[in-house]
Amino acid sequence: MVNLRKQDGPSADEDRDARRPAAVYGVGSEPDARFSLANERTALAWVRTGLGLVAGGVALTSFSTFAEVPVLLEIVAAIACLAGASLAVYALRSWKHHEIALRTGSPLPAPTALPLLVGGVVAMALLLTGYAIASILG
Amino acid sequence: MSSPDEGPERAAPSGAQPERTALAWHRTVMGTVVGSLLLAMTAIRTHAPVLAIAAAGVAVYVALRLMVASPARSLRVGTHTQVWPGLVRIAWSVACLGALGAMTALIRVWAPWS
Repeated sequence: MVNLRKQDGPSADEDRDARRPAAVYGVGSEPDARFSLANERTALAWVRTGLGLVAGGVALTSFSTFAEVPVLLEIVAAIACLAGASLAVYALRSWKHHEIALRTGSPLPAPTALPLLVGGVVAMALLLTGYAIASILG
Repeated sequence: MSSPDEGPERAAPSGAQPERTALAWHRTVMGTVVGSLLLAMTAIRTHAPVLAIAAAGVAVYVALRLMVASPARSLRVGTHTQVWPGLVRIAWSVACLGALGAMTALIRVWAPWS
């Protein structure tokens, strides 16, 4: 069983005070560095997911400069970009809550954005598929 | 397997974890720079020069601030203690790109001649 806690020393307290944010480093004790690094990589993965959504929105907008596309696709592109921006900000919140849980030995919080992300992507895919079929038939 | 309880409050972890984290930083920063440049080119085609300059500015900021002073470098030399500032910079850079991308898309709705 991996020990998630390390004993604090005087140097640990001084260094903890210097690190930001205080809401994270002011509670609990230093966890195993491997778990902190894994938390950091998870936050970066959320940021990249948001970046992917933004890139999808930009691609749709770029496509619209070459061809006449309905307003619907422009709105979908804007929604994708804003969703990507929200995910990037969510990554910060997720990192904070997970790091606090690691430092206090609490259960990790559930990924609340994950079902929203999956539902949103599925809904967008269905919407665009329906639009494509309607365009073919109409 | 438990980690050795060494003197420093955050002993440098052995194994591939720091390298994996450094690579994750590289991927994220490079993706953000490339995404910024693509958005700048799209904004130019949409005849939105202000948005193009803003997107290019994000690319320059991320490239200089997060490539030159890279969290990945501190991971490699074992001095990686400050995670939050880098995360804030990259997350808000992507959020800024998202806002610029939404504005670029909506410009074509409100100004279809662009």
